[in-house]
Amino acid sequence: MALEFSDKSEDKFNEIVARYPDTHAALLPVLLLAQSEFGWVSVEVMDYVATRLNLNPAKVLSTATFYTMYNKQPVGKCHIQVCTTLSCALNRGYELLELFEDRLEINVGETTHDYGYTLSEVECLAACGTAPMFQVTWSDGEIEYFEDIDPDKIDGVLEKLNARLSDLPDTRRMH
Amino acid sequence: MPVLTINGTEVEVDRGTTLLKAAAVAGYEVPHFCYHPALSSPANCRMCLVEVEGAPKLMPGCYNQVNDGMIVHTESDRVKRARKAVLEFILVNHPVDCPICDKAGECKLQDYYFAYDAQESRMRAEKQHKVKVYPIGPRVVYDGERCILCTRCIRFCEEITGTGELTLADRGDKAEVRTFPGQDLDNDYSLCTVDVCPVGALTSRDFRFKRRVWLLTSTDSVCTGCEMGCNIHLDHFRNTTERYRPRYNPAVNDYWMCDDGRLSYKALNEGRLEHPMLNGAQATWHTIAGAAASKLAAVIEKNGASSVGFVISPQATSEDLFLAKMFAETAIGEGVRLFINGNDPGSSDELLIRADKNPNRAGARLVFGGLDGVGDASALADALEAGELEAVYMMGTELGAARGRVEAGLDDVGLFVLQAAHQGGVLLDAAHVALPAATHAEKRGTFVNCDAVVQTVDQAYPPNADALPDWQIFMKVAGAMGHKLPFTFLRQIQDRMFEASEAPEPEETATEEAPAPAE
Amino acid sequence: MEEKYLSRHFGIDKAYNLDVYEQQGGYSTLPKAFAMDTDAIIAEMKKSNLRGRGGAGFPTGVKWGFMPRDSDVEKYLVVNADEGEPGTFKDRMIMELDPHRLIEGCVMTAWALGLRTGYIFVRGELQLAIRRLEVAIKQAYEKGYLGKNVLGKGLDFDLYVHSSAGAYICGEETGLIEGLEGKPGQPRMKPPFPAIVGVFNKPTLVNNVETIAAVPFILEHGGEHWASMGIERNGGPKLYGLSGHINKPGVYEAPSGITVRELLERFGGGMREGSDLKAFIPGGSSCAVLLPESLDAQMGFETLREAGSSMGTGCITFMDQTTCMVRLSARLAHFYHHESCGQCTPCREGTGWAYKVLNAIEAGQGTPDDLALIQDMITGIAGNTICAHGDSLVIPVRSYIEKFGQEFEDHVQNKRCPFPRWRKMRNTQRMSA
Repeated sequence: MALEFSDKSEDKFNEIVARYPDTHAALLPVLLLAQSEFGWVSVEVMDYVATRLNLNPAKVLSTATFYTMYNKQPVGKCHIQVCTTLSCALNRGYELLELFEDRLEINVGETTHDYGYTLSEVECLAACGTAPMFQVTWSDGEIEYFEDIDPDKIDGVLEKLNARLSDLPDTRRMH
Repeated sequence: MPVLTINGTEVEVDRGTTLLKAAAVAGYEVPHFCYHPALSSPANCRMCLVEVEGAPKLMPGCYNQVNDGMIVHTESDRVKRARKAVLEFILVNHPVDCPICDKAGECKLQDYYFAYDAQESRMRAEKQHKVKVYPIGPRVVYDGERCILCTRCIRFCEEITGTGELTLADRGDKAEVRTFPGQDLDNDYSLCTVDVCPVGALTSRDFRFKRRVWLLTSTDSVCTGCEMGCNIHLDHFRNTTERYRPRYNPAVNDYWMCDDGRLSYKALNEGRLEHPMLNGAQATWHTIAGAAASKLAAVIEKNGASSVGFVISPQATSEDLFLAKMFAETAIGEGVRLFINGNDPGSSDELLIRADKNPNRAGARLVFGGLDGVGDASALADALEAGELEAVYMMGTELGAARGRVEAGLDDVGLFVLQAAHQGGVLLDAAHVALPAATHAEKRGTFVNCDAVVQTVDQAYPPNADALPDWQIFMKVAGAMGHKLPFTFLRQIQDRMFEASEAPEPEETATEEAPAPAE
Repeated sequence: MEEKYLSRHFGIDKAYNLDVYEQQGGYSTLPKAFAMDTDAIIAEMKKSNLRGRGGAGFPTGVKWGFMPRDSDVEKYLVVNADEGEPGTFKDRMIMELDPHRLIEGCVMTAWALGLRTGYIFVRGELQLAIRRLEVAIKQAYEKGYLGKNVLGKGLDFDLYVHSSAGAYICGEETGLIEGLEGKPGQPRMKPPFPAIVGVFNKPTLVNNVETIAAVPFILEHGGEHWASMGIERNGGPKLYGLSGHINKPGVYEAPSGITVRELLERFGGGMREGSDLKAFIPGGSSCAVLLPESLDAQMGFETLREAGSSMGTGCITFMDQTTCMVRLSARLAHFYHHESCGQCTPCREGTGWAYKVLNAIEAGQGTPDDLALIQDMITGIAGNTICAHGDSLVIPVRSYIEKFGQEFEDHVQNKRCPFPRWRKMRNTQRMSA
């Protein structure tokens, strides 16, 4: 099935491309747009983006694999990314990560069987004053910060996350 | 021009010269991996760091340019320490599998390790694992663990071929050279990536595991795949050619050659005509020369020289062609019908590949004073079909699309003399007399390329079996016909040849004039 | 309390909206700035002693002076909003709470240097900042602060948000330029510097968010006034992000030159109960660690250098006695390894190797040789790389070993870490025997 941006994404695509003197420069934001539209950045998505931006697909590959926010495989509807770098490490960040592992019954780097959650450990997210914290990338592309988390109240946090899951698309079926 | 001091030696170089090149002028080699003289300098390997007095940090010699009055050290303790550190870093994730690596023996990393590092590994942790034996293209295999990420291959595909198939994927020490899935490294020059690879990350599927490189002998030669005549190192093991590698010549091919040309070496080893053959039976040179002479003389006597088709080859050296011309004029005589065979035209590009797939048509033109009135293989077939020829004397076996018609026509001639390095399939069957000739690996000689650059090939090894250089065969047959051609040495032919054709004598190649910038 | 500048709007409801920003006096200095010419503005910037707030501390006025004056050439403004230095979280506040301040600074900078296009390069994770900036930019266009003929003064200036996608190295200004061009953020060799060959091969000014956000105040009150709120060569109030084992982590505004002690006690609420200060990092993870004895060091580029560290981003991380310095150095090595672009050998290979060795020491698997090996290894990285990323590992690791050498030796000797776990460390690589 050939990929195609929705009308809304197409408008956004045109707006992004218009910002730059060449199409290559639009690659980073367009790949993020494509990820929110198609769930994850597959080879097919890279190829589509390359075609749309008139780029050598090898250039798209190098950029898509260099930056960490592009998922090169399907992830859960709720992609939990726990910071463990500096202030978060000092402030129970690892504990938070382990609690997520425990509750979701997966190891860091893994996805639940129903593709509801993926758990990742990430580097500093510029929220050191509100450590520990984590970031969620929802499968519709939205990114949300959850700061100043009390690891002892992890179950309440997960309840909030759970509440959103049913409204979200399964990244495996987004293209 | 800026004057600077390198390790105490004062040198004057052009403005814009890099420190690495300036050091070469002063007589110092600065080790390097990512730098290649024909490519851009990303300064990423950090092997060429040199010390410039007054500068707080070491500078990459491949990137930084000279300034007047600079005092540069390329062999100071500080530089040596940095080199050693860089080598140790490169080896952190390198498998050091030299015993099973095809690059061993011509590997920069191996050479530099012994020159600048030579310590036991201090890396005790598990190395990064990456893709192994990955067919990155139909002719090239990639080993991600050996790769030192210098990006030479990537830059080659971007800056020389402009095809851009290769890129780095992932980042940090997980990075690998990749193509976009579904796209192969399949450009016409893909094997040059193997040449530029300073380690054993990219290897030739044709050559890998065939021979340890230190067992090969290298001879300066010229590729015969097309009229460009790319300069090559003809690498051979005993009397078999096992690979071609491009040899630097800025006037012709720079550092490169095409894959088709590179793999054309195989023809040197296959389907060879080994012995003189008389009506299908092996003969000696003594008997065959006499037989050829008497049969040819009989046809000429009966039907005149104009009944003889004499076919020259644009694959032959100029010296061979010069003797062919003398043979045609003296042994066959006036009125002989001249033809030229050869490979049909093929594809061409802006870089090195030329449409004429024969190395010496320009040489033939010079020797024969132009080729007007010399028919091609198709004209030969026409003449055969029209029954105009009683005898055909042919050099070489390249007939292109006219092959079928020529082969059919040869059935009806009274005499077919084939003088060739190869059997040519049906041609050998049709030949009444077959004379085994040497390939360009087996003799010295001269080719003239499409840009009139006169280039010599050296003899790599003696002719196979009974084969002889064409010029010597012509002398034998002519002699048996009573026409002694007055040459003993190739040089004598060359003297006459250049005198006669007013062609420029072969120039000493640039590689001999000045040392090529180190690759 | 001193008067607030950079954080003036942080407590004001919806200050990210144009009308609120204007009510607070926002954009009112533009006409004054537009009445000044390039030389006058650069002179004020130089007088202000404003130093680049991204960490390098280069004098902003001097950097502006490097930009070519040729008005025919396309020149770009790029705002470095790729905030990612561990411990640092100040620029985010400006973008989320006071985006028009940044936009106003951009317009003034564009006017000063004849720049026609600007990009705010925001790390992709900072979605809220991106959204707030995009809305604010739209509002500014509608009001004529951006676009064609700004305020009728003949300045054509377009400003866009560029969303990055996860790469710390893009905070390096030439890595940022590569990222803006859509490529992997691999820093460029210098020279040429961005002021000559920058984004799209055109002259480019790259400045940090906080730096640009300071411009409206400097042009409103004059460079001298800004310089007066600081110490020698370090002008103006600054946003300090405090975090770690303290009572009141957060972003606080205070003058340049304030002591670490005052920041900790007056703003950070001191160490938590039961926590004793063991060490602190004054300006993000790439700065050398300091001991409590340096608490009276003033926050300034020269003063902190004298104290044995550096100012960096001015965001301070405080650590208590439970912190294992071996583990912290291993964790930071992990960060610099993960974020190494991989372009040049010493950084690509050295950061990963350093991490593996430090991690082994922390896990009680180190050997006495490992301490010398680490020293050797980081010496091989130091200064030998294309950009400063490699040094960002070398400087802290060297300082941890120098200041807490005994802790490293104890780990090796006793084959165990005596500190409480951070639960488990991830990606533990076991050493082979």
